[in-house]
Amino acid sequence: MNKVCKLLERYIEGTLSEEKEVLFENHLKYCLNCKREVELYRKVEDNLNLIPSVKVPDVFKDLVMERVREYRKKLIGWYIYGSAVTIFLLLSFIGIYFIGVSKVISSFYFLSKSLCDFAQSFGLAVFTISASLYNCFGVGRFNWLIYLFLFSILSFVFVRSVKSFSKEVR
Amino acid sequence: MRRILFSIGFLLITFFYSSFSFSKGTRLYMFPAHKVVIKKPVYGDILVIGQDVEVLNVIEGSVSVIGGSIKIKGEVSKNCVSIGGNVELLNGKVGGEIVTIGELFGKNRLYWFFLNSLFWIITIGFGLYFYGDRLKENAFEFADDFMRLFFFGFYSLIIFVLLGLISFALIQIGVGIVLFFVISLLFSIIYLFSVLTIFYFFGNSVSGFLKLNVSDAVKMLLGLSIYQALKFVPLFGFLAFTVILSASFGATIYSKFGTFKPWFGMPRFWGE
Repeated sequence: MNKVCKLLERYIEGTLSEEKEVLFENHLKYCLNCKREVELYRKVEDNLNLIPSVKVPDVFKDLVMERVREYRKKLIGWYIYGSAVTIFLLLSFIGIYFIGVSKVISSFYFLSKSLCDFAQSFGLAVFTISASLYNCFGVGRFNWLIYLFLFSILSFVFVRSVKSFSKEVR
Repeated sequence: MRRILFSIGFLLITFFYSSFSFSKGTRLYMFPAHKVVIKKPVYGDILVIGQDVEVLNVIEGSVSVIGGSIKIKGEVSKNCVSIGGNVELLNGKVGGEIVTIGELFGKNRLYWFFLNSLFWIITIGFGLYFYGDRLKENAFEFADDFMRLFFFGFYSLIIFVLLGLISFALIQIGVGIVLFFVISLLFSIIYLFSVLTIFYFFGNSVSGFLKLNVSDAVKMLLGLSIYQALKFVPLFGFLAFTVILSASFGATIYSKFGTFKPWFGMPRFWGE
């Protein structure tokens, strides 16, 4: 690689002075590397020119702007929800400040205790009712197998029917 | 269509087979006409939906009631559960624990009414803001092909209830917790969308009938008021609600939440 080779980029850009251009063209006759580069570049240029230009539809701008507007609308919605939550939190902090921390903590303790009791009784209820349902076929060791089989068959049938229903010509 | 009919028949057969093959132990009563009175001793659990129970004899198992209360004059060896009612002990004995949930709300309908309205107003705001266009599309689809969508929606409602029951029973082996969660999540999303569709349909048709030019939010609120008013009409209100909800359920599943994209990657051949 000599000094003239470095002129390649500027030759392709077409920003060389006439003197240097002649120099580089003479150089191309015997430098295979530069010749290959230039040929490759010309090929790429020709191929790029072959691609037909696409005409953008007239409503394209409106469509894009509509999408942007929709996105903005959604964003504003989330901001409103976020600010509502923030205001709620701020108000609750102010409320805690005025009521007193110890009182709030004790009331939270009772609340959480009653919630825990509720969750416990709820869990018990769920467990009892599901046990009654589970023993519908009699107290057997393979009840779970029957239920899993029924579940899989039902879900399979449902999925198939949704498929076939949405496939029909109307 | 034939396939759907076949599958409905298959479902009915499996359902009735399971209901006839109950053992002597567990007894299931779904919406019985009269109060359930247990006069003979029972070796197994008792589950009643939508009616009160009176226990006069010994039960070797648990008694659970959804939407009713329990009176115990005999003996129950395991738990007593009442959801939406209370448990009364009249010279009776319970071996396990007594659980009552939602007694306050069960008695007072006004609480339910206000909570329900508040919930739907918030949901309307959310749904209209984020999925307004889809809701409209779904409402048009709902009005377009009502009968077909009614049959399909009714069928899918039945399937959802059965799947929910099975997964609820499977809670006993743990895997049911996940299944039940997934089923109930899917159901509640479709249900919310369907009810919002009904609101829009009601509001749109009423405002069109009265030739009122109002915004979508007002239409939805109009629909909500009609929906709440339907609850106070005996029998007809319930029937109308079931029919309309079924059709809307079908429309929601059919149009895939108003997007009209195919489920499970299947191509659509109509109206594209």
